[in-house]
Amino acid sequence: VRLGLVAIGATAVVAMVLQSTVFAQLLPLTGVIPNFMLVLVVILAVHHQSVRGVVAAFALGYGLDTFVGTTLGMHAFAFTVVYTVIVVVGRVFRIDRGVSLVVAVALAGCIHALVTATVADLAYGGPPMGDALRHGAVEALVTAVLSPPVLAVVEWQDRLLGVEPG
Amino acid sequence: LEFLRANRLLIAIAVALTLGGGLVLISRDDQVRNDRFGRLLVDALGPIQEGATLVTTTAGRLWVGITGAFRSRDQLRVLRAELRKQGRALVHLREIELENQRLRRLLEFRPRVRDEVVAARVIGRDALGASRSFVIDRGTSDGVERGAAVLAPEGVVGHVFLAGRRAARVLLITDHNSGVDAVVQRTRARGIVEGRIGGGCGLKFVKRTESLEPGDLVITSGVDGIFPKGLPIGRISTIDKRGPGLFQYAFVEPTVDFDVLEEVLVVQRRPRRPLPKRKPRP
Repeated sequence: VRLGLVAIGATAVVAMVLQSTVFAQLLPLTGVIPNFMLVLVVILAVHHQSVRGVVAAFALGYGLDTFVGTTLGMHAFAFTVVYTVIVVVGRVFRIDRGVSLVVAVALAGCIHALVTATVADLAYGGPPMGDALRHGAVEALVTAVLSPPVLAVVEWQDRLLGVEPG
Repeated sequence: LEFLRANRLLIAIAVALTLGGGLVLISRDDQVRNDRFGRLLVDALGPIQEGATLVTTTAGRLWVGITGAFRSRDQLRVLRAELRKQGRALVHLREIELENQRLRRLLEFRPRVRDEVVAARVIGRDALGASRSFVIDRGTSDGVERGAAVLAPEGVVGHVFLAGRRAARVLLITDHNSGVDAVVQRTRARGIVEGRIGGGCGLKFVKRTESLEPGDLVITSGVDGIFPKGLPIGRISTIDKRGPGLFQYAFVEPTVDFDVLEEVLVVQRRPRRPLPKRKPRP
Protein backbone atom coordinates (compact mmCIF):
# COMPACT_ATOMS: atom_id res chain seq x y z
CA VAL A 1 0.00 0.00 0.00
CA ARG A 2 2.80 2.40 0.93
CA LEU A 3 4.53 1.83 -2.41
CA GLY A 4 1.22 2.31 -4.24
CA LEU A 5 0.96 5.75 -2.65
CA VAL A 6 4.56 6.52 -3.64
CA ALA A 7 3.73 5.72 -7.28
CA ILE A 8 0.62 7.92 -7.09
CA GLY A 9 2.64 10.74 -5.50
CA ALA A 10 5.31 10.54 -8.20
CA THR A 11 2.62 10.55 -10.90
CA ALA A 12 1.01 13.56 -9.20
CA VAL A 13 4.25 15.58 -9.50
CA VAL A 14 4.53 14.67 -13.20
CA ALA A 15 0.83 15.47 -13.72
CA MET A 16 1.18 18.86 -12.03
CA VAL A 17 4.21 19.79 -14.15
CA LEU A 18 2.46 18.60 -17.34
CA GLN A 19 -0.73 20.49 -16.50
CA SER A 20 1.09 23.73 -15.69
CA THR A 21 3.51 23.69 -18.65
CA VAL A 22 2.81 21.46 -21.68
CA PHE A 23 -1.00 21.41 -21.53
CA ALA A 24 -1.18 25.04 -20.39
CA GLN A 25 0.75 26.07 -23.51
CA LEU A 26 -1.81 24.18 -25.63
CA LEU A 27 -4.73 25.89 -23.85
CA PRO A 28 -5.32 28.49 -26.62
CA LEU A 29 -5.81 25.53 -29.04
CA THR A 30 -7.68 23.07 -26.81
CA GLY A 31 -9.66 25.39 -24.49
CA VAL A 32 -9.38 22.90 -21.60
CA ILE A 33 -6.63 21.23 -19.58
CA PRO A 34 -7.17 17.59 -18.53
CA ASN A 35 -7.08 17.26 -14.74
CA PHE A 36 -4.92 14.17 -14.20
CA MET A 37 -4.92 14.76 -10.43
CA LEU A 38 -8.60 13.81 -10.51
CA VAL A 39 -7.74 10.43 -12.06
CA LEU A 40 -5.30 9.86 -9.18
CA VAL A 41 -8.05 10.63 -6.65
CA VAL A 42 -10.29 8.02 -8.33
CA ILE A 43 -7.42 5.48 -8.24
CA LEU A 44 -6.94 6.30 -4.53
CA ALA A 45 -10.67 5.80 -3.86
CA VAL A 46 -10.60 2.41 -5.61
CA HIS A 47 -7.27 1.04 -4.27
CA HIS A 48 -6.77 2.85 -0.96
CA GLN A 49 -9.99 2.92 1.03
CA SER A 50 -8.20 3.89 4.23
CA VAL A 51 -7.15 6.88 6.29
CA ARG A 52 -4.00 7.10 4.16
CA GLY A 53 -6.19 7.31 1.05
CA VAL A 54 -8.18 10.22 2.52
CA VAL A 55 -4.99 12.05 3.54
CA ALA A 56 -3.48 11.47 0.08
CA ALA A 57 -6.62 12.77 -1.69
CA PHE A 58 -6.63 15.85 0.57
CA ALA A 59 -2.91 16.41 -0.10
CA LEU A 60 -3.41 16.17 -3.88
CA GLY A 61 -6.13 18.83 -3.63
CA TYR A 62 -3.94 21.01 -1.44
CA GLY A 63 -1.13 20.70 -3.98
CA LEU A 64 -3.49 21.68 -6.80
CA ASP A 65 -4.64 24.67 -4.72
CA THR A 66 -1.08 26.02 -4.98
CA PHE A 67 -1.22 26.15 -8.77
CA VAL A 68 -4.92 26.86 -9.43
CA GLY A 69 -7.16 29.71 -8.32
CA THR A 70 -6.79 31.79 -5.17
CA THR A 71 -8.81 30.06 -2.46
CA LEU A 72 -6.68 27.73 -0.32
CA GLY A 73 -8.53 24.50 0.53
CA MET A 74 -11.01 24.66 -2.37
CA HIS A 75 -9.62 21.65 -4.27
CA ALA A 76 -8.56 19.87 -1.05
CA PHE A 77 -12.23 20.00 0.02
CA ALA A 78 -13.50 19.03 -3.46
CA PHE A 79 -11.07 16.10 -3.80
CA THR A 80 -12.16 14.78 -0.38
CA VAL A 81 -15.79 14.90 -1.55
CA VAL A 82 -14.86 13.18 -4.84
CA TYR A 83 -12.89 10.52 -2.94
CA THR A 84 -15.88 9.85 -0.64
CA VAL A 85 -18.37 9.57 -3.51
CA ILE A 86 -16.13 7.22 -5.52
CA VAL A 87 -15.56 5.02 -2.42
CA VAL A 88 -19.35 4.72 -2.05
CA VAL A 89 -19.87 4.11 -5.79
CA GLY A 90 -17.01 1.59 -5.79
CA ARG A 91 -18.80 -0.47 -3.15
CA VAL A 92 -21.86 -0.78 -5.40
CA PHE A 93 -20.24 -1.05 -8.87
CA ARG A 94 -16.95 -2.68 -9.78
CA ILE A 95 -14.41 -0.06 -10.97
CA ASP A 96 -11.25 -1.55 -12.46
CA ARG A 97 -10.01 -0.26 -15.82
CA GLY A 98 -11.34 0.57 -19.26
CA VAL A 99 -14.92 1.81 -19.48
CA SER A 100 -15.68 1.61 -15.74
CA LEU A 101 -12.65 3.80 -14.93
CA VAL A 102 -13.56 6.30 -17.69
CA VAL A 103 -17.13 6.55 -16.36
CA ALA A 104 -15.91 6.92 -12.75
CA VAL A 105 -13.48 9.70 -13.75
CA ALA A 106 -16.20 11.50 -15.73
CA LEU A 107 -18.46 11.30 -12.67
CA ALA A 108 -15.60 12.49 -10.46
CA GLY A 109 -14.95 15.42 -12.84
CA CYS A 110 -18.60 16.50 -12.74
CA ILE A 111 -18.68 16.27 -8.92
CA HIS A 112 -15.41 18.23 -8.72
CA ALA A 113 -16.82 20.96 -10.99
CA LEU A 114 -20.08 21.10 -9.03
CA VAL A 115 -18.34 21.28 -5.64
CA THR A 116 -15.76 23.91 -6.66
CA ALA A 117 -18.41 26.06 -8.39
CA THR A 118 -20.75 25.82 -5.37
CA VAL A 119 -17.99 26.50 -2.82
CA ALA A 120 -16.72 29.47 -4.89
CA ASP A 121 -20.26 30.84 -5.18
CA LEU A 122 -20.93 30.48 -1.44
CA ALA A 123 -17.49 31.67 -0.32
CA TYR A 124 -16.97 34.76 -2.45
CA GLY A 125 -19.62 34.85 -5.19
CA GLY A 126 -17.23 33.14 -7.71
CA PRO A 127 -17.70 33.04 -11.51
CA PRO A 128 -21.18 32.54 -13.03
CA MET A 129 -22.30 29.02 -11.98
CA GLY A 130 -23.47 28.06 -15.51
CA ASP A 131 -20.13 28.96 -17.12
CA ALA A 132 -18.15 27.14 -14.41
CA LEU A 133 -20.28 23.96 -14.68
CA ARG A 134 -20.15 23.93 -18.50
CA HIS A 135 -16.38 24.33 -18.46
CA GLY A 136 -16.06 21.72 -15.70
CA ALA A 137 -18.18 19.19 -17.62
CA VAL A 138 -16.04 19.52 -20.77
CA GLU A 139 -12.87 19.23 -18.68
CA ALA A 140 -14.30 16.13 -16.95
CA LEU A 141 -15.02 14.43 -20.29
CA VAL A 142 -11.54 15.16 -21.67
CA THR A 143 -9.94 13.94 -18.42
CA ALA A 144 -12.08 10.76 -18.45
CA VAL A 145 -11.04 9.88 -22.01
CA LEU A 146 -7.36 10.29 -21.06
CA SER A 147 -7.62 8.41 -17.73
CA PRO A 148 -6.54 4.86 -18.87
CA PRO A 149 -2.98 6.02 -19.74
CA VAL A 150 -2.68 7.65 -16.30
CA LEU A 151 -3.71 4.36 -14.65
CA ALA A 152 -1.16 2.57 -16.85
CA VAL A 153 1.59 4.94 -15.66
CA VAL A 154 0.72 4.32 -11.98
CA GLU A 155 0.63 0.52 -12.56
CA TRP A 156 3.95 0.70 -14.42
CA GLN A 157 5.53 2.53 -11.49
CA ASP A 158 4.03 -0.02 -9.09
CA ARG A 159 5.62 -2.83 -11.12
CA LEU A 160 8.88 -0.88 -11.18
CA LEU A 161 8.74 -0.69 -7.38
CA GLY A 162 7.86 -4.37 -7.22
CA VAL A 163 4.43 -4.12 -5.61
CA GLU A 164 0.92 -4.39 -7.03
CA PRO A 165 -1.52 -1.62 -5.97
CA GLY A 166 -3.06 -2.39 -2.60
CA LEU B 1 -11.83 3.18 21.06
CA GLU B 2 -13.61 0.34 19.32
CA PHE B 3 -16.00 2.86 17.76
CA LEU B 4 -13.09 5.01 16.52
CA ARG B 5 -11.31 1.96 15.08
CA ALA B 6 -14.45 0.71 13.32
CA ASN B 7 -15.26 4.11 11.80
CA ARG B 8 -11.77 5.50 11.17
CA LEU B 9 -12.38 6.01 7.42
CA LEU B 10 -15.54 8.04 8.08
CA ILE B 11 -13.78 10.05 10.78
CA ALA B 12 -10.81 10.75 8.48
CA ILE B 13 -13.18 11.95 5.73
CA ALA B 14 -15.06 14.18 8.20
CA VAL B 15 -11.77 15.68 9.46
CA ALA B 16 -10.53 16.27 5.89
CA LEU B 17 -13.81 17.93 4.88
CA THR B 18 -13.79 20.14 7.99
CA LEU B 19 -10.15 21.09 7.37
CA GLY B 20 -10.81 21.85 3.67
CA GLY B 21 -13.93 23.87 4.46
CA GLY B 22 -12.09 25.73 7.22
CA LEU B 23 -9.23 26.64 4.88
CA VAL B 24 -11.74 27.95 2.32
CA LEU B 25 -13.46 30.10 4.96
CA ILE B 26 -10.12 31.46 6.22
CA SER B 27 -8.67 32.24 2.79
CA ARG B 28 -11.80 33.23 0.82
CA ASP B 29 -11.11 37.00 1.07
CA ASP B 30 -7.36 36.77 0.50
CA GLN B 31 -5.91 38.37 -2.61
CA VAL B 32 -2.47 36.97 -1.75
CA ARG B 33 -1.29 33.80 -0.07
CA ASN B 34 1.69 33.14 2.14
CA ASP B 35 1.46 29.51 3.30
CA ARG B 36 4.76 27.71 3.81
CA PHE B 37 3.70 24.57 1.87
CA GLY B 38 2.62 26.67 -1.13
CA ARG B 39 5.95 28.53 -1.17
CA LEU B 40 7.87 25.26 -0.89
CA LEU B 41 5.85 23.67 -3.71
CA VAL B 42 6.28 26.66 -6.04
CA ASP B 43 10.02 26.67 -5.30
CA ALA B 44 10.38 22.90 -5.71
CA LEU B 45 8.45 22.65 -8.99
CA GLY B 46 9.87 25.90 -10.43
CA PRO B 47 13.05 24.36 -11.92
CA ILE B 48 11.09 21.33 -13.23
CA GLN B 49 8.52 23.62 -14.84
CA GLU B 50 11.34 25.67 -16.35
CA GLY B 51 12.85 22.50 -17.83
CA ALA B 52 9.50 21.20 -19.11
CA THR B 53 8.72 24.58 -20.71
CA LEU B 54 12.13 24.57 -22.37
CA VAL B 55 11.57 21.03 -23.72
CA THR B 56 8.07 21.92 -24.98
CA THR B 57 9.27 25.10 -26.65
CA THR B 58 12.17 23.27 -28.26
CA ALA B 59 9.86 20.47 -29.43
CA GLY B 60 7.50 23.08 -30.88
CA ARG B 61 10.33 24.75 -32.76
CA LEU B 62 11.55 21.36 -34.02
CA TRP B 63 8.03 20.51 -35.17
CA VAL B 64 7.79 23.78 -37.08
CA GLY B 65 11.20 23.09 -38.63
CA ILE B 66 10.28 19.52 -39.66
CA THR B 67 6.93 20.45 -41.23
CA GLY B 68 8.59 23.33 -43.05
CA ALA B 69 11.22 20.99 -44.47
CA PHE B 70 8.58 18.47 -45.61
CA ARG B 71 6.64 21.19 -47.44
CA SER B 72 9.63 22.17 -49.50
CA ARG B 73 10.95 18.61 -50.01
CA ASP B 74 9.77 18.19 -53.61
CA GLN B 75 11.06 21.54 -54.80
CA LEU B 76 14.38 21.52 -53.00
CA ARG B 77 15.28 17.84 -52.82
CA VAL B 78 18.92 18.39 -53.77
CA LEU B 79 19.44 21.22 -51.31
CA ARG B 80 17.40 19.72 -48.47
CA ALA B 81 20.28 19.04 -46.16
CA GLU B 82 21.68 22.52 -46.66
CA LEU B 83 18.23 24.04 -46.29
CA ARG B 84 17.59 22.25 -42.97
CA LYS B 85 20.91 23.49 -41.65
CA GLN B 86 20.17 27.04 -42.78
CA GLY B 87 16.61 26.77 -41.50
CA ARG B 88 17.76 25.78 -38.01
CA ALA B 89 20.24 28.63 -37.98
CA LEU B 90 17.58 31.06 -39.19
CA VAL B 91 15.09 29.92 -36.54
CA HIS B 92 17.77 30.38 -33.92
CA LEU B 93 18.73 33.85 -35.20
CA ARG B 94 15.11 34.90 -35.56
CA GLU B 95 14.47 33.76 -32.01
CA ILE B 96 17.40 35.84 -30.78
CA GLU B 97 16.23 38.83 -32.83
CA LEU B 98 12.68 38.56 -31.46
CA GLU B 99 14.01 38.22 -27.93
CA ASN B 100 16.17 41.32 -28.47
CA GLN B 101 13.12 43.24 -29.72
CA ARG B 102 11.07 42.19 -26.70
CA LEU B 103 13.85 43.08 -24.24
CA ARG B 104 14.42 46.43 -25.97
CA ARG B 105 10.72 47.21 -25.63
CA LEU B 106 10.89 46.26 -21.94
CA LEU B 107 13.86 48.65 -21.50
CA GLU B 108 12.00 51.46 -23.31
CA PHE B 109 8.94 50.84 -21.13
CA ARG B 110 10.95 50.94 -17.87
CA PRO B 111 11.18 54.77 -17.52
CA ARG B 112 7.35 54.99 -17.65
CA VAL B 113 7.17 53.21 -14.28
CA ARG B 114 8.61 55.32 -11.47
CA ASP B 115 9.22 52.40 -9.10
CA GLU B 116 12.10 49.93 -9.31
CA VAL B 117 11.29 46.99 -11.58
CA VAL B 118 12.82 43.59 -12.26
CA ALA B 119 12.50 41.62 -15.51
CA ALA B 120 11.23 38.02 -15.30
CA ARG B 121 10.61 35.10 -17.66
CA VAL B 122 7.37 33.11 -17.80
CA ILE B 123 8.24 29.48 -16.94
CA GLY B 124 4.83 27.88 -16.31
CA ARG B 125 1.13 28.40 -16.84
CA ASP B 126 -2.03 27.69 -14.84
CA ALA B 127 -2.70 24.03 -14.06
CA LEU B 128 -6.40 24.23 -15.07
CA GLY B 129 -8.23 26.08 -17.86
CA ALA B 130 -10.78 27.89 -15.70
CA SER B 131 -8.28 30.17 -13.98
CA ARG B 132 -5.59 32.31 -15.50
CA SER B 133 -2.13 32.60 -13.95
CA PHE B 134 1.47 31.84 -14.69
CA VAL B 135 4.74 31.17 -12.90
CA ILE B 136 7.77 33.48 -13.30
CA ASP B 137 11.42 32.71 -12.61
CA ARG B 138 11.87 35.43 -9.98
CA GLY B 139 11.05 35.23 -6.27
CA THR B 140 11.62 36.99 -2.98
CA SER B 141 15.40 36.60 -3.34
CA ASP B 142 15.14 38.91 -6.41
CA GLY B 143 12.98 41.45 -4.58
CA VAL B 144 9.67 40.13 -5.91
CA GLU B 145 7.02 40.32 -3.20
CA ARG B 146 3.43 39.15 -3.06
CA GLY B 147 0.97 41.79 -4.18
CA ALA B 148 3.51 43.39 -6.56
CA ALA B 149 2.22 44.65 -9.92
CA VAL B 150 3.32 42.72 -13.02
CA LEU B 151 3.50 44.68 -16.29
CA ALA B 152 4.34 44.31 -19.97
CA PRO B 153 5.09 47.06 -22.50
CA GLU B 154 1.53 46.67 -23.83
CA GLY B 155 -0.03 47.19 -20.39
CA VAL B 156 -1.10 45.55 -17.15
CA VAL B 157 -0.51 41.78 -16.76
CA GLY B 158 -1.58 41.04 -13.15
CA HIS B 159 -0.16 40.85 -9.64
CA VAL B 160 2.08 38.45 -7.72
CA PHE B 161 -0.24 36.08 -5.88
CA LEU B 162 2.27 33.70 -4.31
CA ALA B 163 6.00 34.44 -3.96
CA GLY B 164 8.53 31.69 -3.36
CA ARG B 165 12.25 32.35 -2.95
CA ARG B 166 13.19 31.64 -6.58
CA ALA B 167 9.80 31.63 -8.36
CA ALA B 168 6.43 33.29 -8.02
CA ARG B 169 2.87 32.80 -9.25
CA VAL B 170 1.19 35.73 -11.04
CA LEU B 171 -2.60 36.09 -11.09
CA LEU B 172 -3.56 37.57 -14.48
CA ILE B 173 -6.17 40.33 -14.89
CA THR B 174 -8.18 37.85 -17.00
CA ASP B 175 -8.62 35.49 -14.00
CA HIS B 176 -12.14 35.64 -12.60
CA ASN B 177 -10.74 36.34 -9.12
CA SER B 178 -8.89 39.45 -10.31
CA GLY B 179 -10.12 43.05 -9.91
CA VAL B 180 -8.35 46.25 -11.03
CA ASP B 181 -9.55 49.78 -10.27
CA ALA B 182 -9.78 51.50 -13.67
CA VAL B 183 -10.90 54.61 -15.56
CA VAL B 184 -11.98 55.07 -19.16
CA GLN B 185 -9.31 57.37 -20.62
CA ARG B 186 -11.68 59.46 -22.81
CA THR B 187 -14.44 60.16 -20.25
CA ARG B 188 -12.61 59.42 -16.93
CA ALA B 189 -15.54 57.13 -15.97
CA ARG B 190 -14.54 54.90 -13.02
CA GLY B 191 -15.10 51.15 -12.78
CA ILE B 192 -13.59 47.81 -11.85
CA VAL B 193 -12.00 45.55 -14.49
CA GLU B 194 -12.68 41.89 -13.69
CA GLY B 195 -11.52 38.68 -15.40
CA ARG B 196 -14.05 36.49 -17.20
CA ILE B 197 -14.05 32.70 -17.07
CA GLY B 198 -14.15 32.36 -20.86
CA GLY B 199 -11.14 34.71 -21.27
CA GLY B 200 -10.97 38.49 -21.67
CA CYS B 201 -12.15 41.06 -19.16
CA GLY B 202 -15.24 43.01 -18.20
CA LEU B 203 -15.66 46.57 -16.87
CA LYS B 204 -18.29 46.74 -14.13
CA PHE B 205 -19.72 49.31 -11.72
CA VAL B 206 -19.72 52.08 -14.38
CA LYS B 207 -22.64 54.50 -13.92
CA ARG B 208 -25.33 54.24 -16.59
CA THR B 209 -25.07 57.99 -17.19
CA GLU B 210 -21.41 57.70 -18.26
CA SER B 211 -20.68 57.63 -21.99
CA LEU B 212 -18.87 54.49 -23.18
CA GLU B 213 -17.99 53.65 -26.78
CA PRO B 214 -16.37 50.60 -28.41
CA GLY B 215 -12.66 51.30 -28.82
CA ASP B 216 -12.36 53.41 -25.66
CA LEU B 217 -9.08 52.74 -23.86
CA VAL B 218 -9.38 51.57 -20.24
CA ILE B 219 -6.42 52.48 -18.02
CA THR B 220 -5.43 51.96 -14.37
CA SER B 221 -6.69 54.59 -11.92
CA GLY B 222 -3.78 54.09 -9.53
CA VAL B 223 -6.04 54.22 -6.46
CA ASP B 224 -5.92 50.50 -5.66
CA GLY B 225 -2.37 50.82 -4.36
CA ILE B 226 -1.12 47.99 -6.59
CA PHE B 227 -0.84 49.30 -10.14
CA PRO B 228 0.78 52.60 -11.14
CA LYS B 229 -1.66 55.16 -12.59
CA GLY B 230 -2.30 55.47 -16.34
CA LEU B 231 -1.20 52.05 -17.61
CA PRO B 232 -3.32 50.53 -20.43
CA ILE B 233 -5.56 47.59 -19.45
CA GLY B 234 -7.59 47.07 -22.61
CA ARG B 235 -10.08 48.49 -25.12
CA ILE B 236 -13.86 48.31 -24.80
CA SER B 237 -15.29 45.90 -27.40
CA THR B 238 -19.04 45.86 -26.59
CA ILE B 239 -21.31 47.57 -24.08
CA ASP B 240 -24.20 45.92 -22.24
CA LYS B 241 -26.93 48.20 -20.83
CA ARG B 242 -29.71 45.60 -20.92
CA GLY B 243 -29.82 44.70 -17.23
CA PRO B 244 -31.66 46.76 -14.63
CA GLY B 245 -29.83 48.83 -12.02
CA LEU B 246 -27.59 51.85 -11.76
CA PHE B 247 -24.63 50.43 -13.67
CA GLN B 248 -23.71 49.38 -17.18
CA TYR B 249 -21.25 46.64 -18.17
CA ALA B 250 -18.63 46.63 -20.91
CA PHE B 251 -16.53 43.82 -22.38
CA VAL B 252 -12.84 44.71 -22.50
CA GLU B 253 -10.24 43.24 -24.84
CA PRO B 254 -6.89 43.29 -22.94
CA THR B 255 -4.01 45.13 -24.64
CA VAL B 256 -1.65 42.34 -23.56
CA ASP B 257 -1.74 39.05 -25.50
CA PHE B 258 -1.21 36.63 -22.57
CA ASP B 259 -0.85 33.57 -24.81
CA VAL B 260 2.43 34.79 -26.32
CA LEU B 261 3.85 36.62 -23.30
CA GLU B 262 7.38 35.42 -22.46
CA GLU B 263 8.93 38.25 -20.42
CA VAL B 264 7.38 40.65 -17.91
CA LEU B 265 8.39 43.42 -15.51
CA VAL B 266 7.63 43.12 -11.79
CA VAL B 267 7.37 46.31 -9.73
CA GLN B 268 9.68 46.03 -6.70
CA ARG B 269 7.75 47.73 -3.96
CA ARG B 270 5.17 46.87 -1.35
CA PRO B 271 1.58 48.05 -1.92
CA ARG B 272 1.00 51.49 -0.37
CA ARG B 273 -1.93 50.11 1.62
CA PRO B 274 -3.46 46.67 2.34
CA LEU B 275 -4.84 44.84 -0.68
CA PRO B 276 -8.63 45.25 -1.13
CA LYS B 277 -10.93 42.37 -0.20
CA ARG B 278 -12.92 40.72 -2.99
CA LYS B 279 -16.13 42.57 -3.85
CA PRO B 280 -19.31 40.45 -3.88
CA ARG B 281 -20.93 39.89 -7.27
CA PRO B 282 -23.77 42.44 -7.76
